[in-house]
Amino acid sequence: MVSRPHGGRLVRRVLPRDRLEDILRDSRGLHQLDVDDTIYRDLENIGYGVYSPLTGFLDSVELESVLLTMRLSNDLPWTIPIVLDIDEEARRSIGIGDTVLLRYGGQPVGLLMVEEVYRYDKRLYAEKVFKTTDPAHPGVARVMSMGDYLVGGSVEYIPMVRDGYEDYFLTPMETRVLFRERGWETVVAFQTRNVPHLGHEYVQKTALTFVDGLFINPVIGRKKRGDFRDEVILEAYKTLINRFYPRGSVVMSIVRYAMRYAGPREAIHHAVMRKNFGATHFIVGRDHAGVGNYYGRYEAQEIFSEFPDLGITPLFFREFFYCRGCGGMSNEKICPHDRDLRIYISGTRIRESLSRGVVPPGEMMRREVAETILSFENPFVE
Amino acid sequence: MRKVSIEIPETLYRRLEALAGRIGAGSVYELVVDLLREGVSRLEEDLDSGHELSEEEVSRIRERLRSLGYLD
Repeated sequence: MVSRPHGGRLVRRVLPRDRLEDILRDSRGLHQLDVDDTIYRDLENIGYGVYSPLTGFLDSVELESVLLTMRLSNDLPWTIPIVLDIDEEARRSIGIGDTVLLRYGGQPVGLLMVEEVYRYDKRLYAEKVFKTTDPAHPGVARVMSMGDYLVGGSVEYIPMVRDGYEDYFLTPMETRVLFRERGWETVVAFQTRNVPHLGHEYVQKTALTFVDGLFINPVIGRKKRGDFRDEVILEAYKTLINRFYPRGSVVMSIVRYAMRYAGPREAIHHAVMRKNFGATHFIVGRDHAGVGNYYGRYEAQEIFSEFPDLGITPLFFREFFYCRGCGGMSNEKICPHDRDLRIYISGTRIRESLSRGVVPPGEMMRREVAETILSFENPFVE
Repeated sequence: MRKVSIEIPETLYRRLEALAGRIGAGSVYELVVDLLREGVSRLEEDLDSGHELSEEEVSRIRERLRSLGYLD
């Protein structure tokens, strides 16, 4: 049996097509608000139930509860604030009870029913969520640049924007049907922002040994210069799955989501999202959702002990490497050999090699995967 | 009666304790049993009514999954 949705019921807040036409016809009479990439992704995730049980953006009571207790006010685990910020000018034009048309890239993407407009403490927000107020932390930098007010209220998502990845996206409703159709009772989810190397493959295969299916979720969205392009990650995974995984044991589907880099808190959030897709297990590796040196190597694993009621089982992995003593892939928990016999997988080294058009060492990446990546004229974001 | 032991968040326990006092439940134990009865009935009703998806919705989803190659 796949996981029950978080909070018991899968949320669906997508505006029906017939209502959409009415809204668009009357949109001149509505307040309008442009939202950024993060809020747009959150809106879509609320709409399709990826963030169940949330039906909208947090009000002040829920925000305080999430910041101080890592739970919603009804005690359900929830670690990342899902909020919509506005500036002073927008605050003057929006009132409680208003319906606001949300726009992204000039297109209508949602309706927000305003229930509360409130001020918040950015420093407290950063301290609690990111465990730092260092402006060099990308999550802190975003919070400090947000508007001074937040709007709480329920939303309805309008699926208008196309990004070319529609055929790779499944909603939680769809994955739940798919897992049932495949007869999967246990499903392990793996989140990725990168092309697959041997370390990823061994983590996934080790987990798959104990469950019925593997659910791979590449995160699609804003990337920084030098990252692998989204289509490259998808094609590399397709090669790996088609050539090296048992047929029918893997589902790959993207998640549109803006990373917060909140380390331990975000690991819990990622697990909740996968629970809503129906996964029963979630892989948490070294420095999950971390950035720089803000979090301990395995802090994102340790935090799970505070959530015995999460409803999805975390699977903790140590770093995999190639060991010449073992003659294969291993990790520090099971390998008895000295460090000098180990070849650690370095993302930087793989990237450098591929950027020179050279296939990385076989102890780090499969040749077939590397060749797929190299088949792109430029696999990196410019 | 069967004796079971479960772990619950501290915050939830404190709320149960306060609530038991306010509504005149004899103890947290008594309140928890009442809430479980209520919750189990609601879940059973939800399952019986198949509230999640209609057959038509499931067929539409199966169709999309097939067209994308997720199902044979």
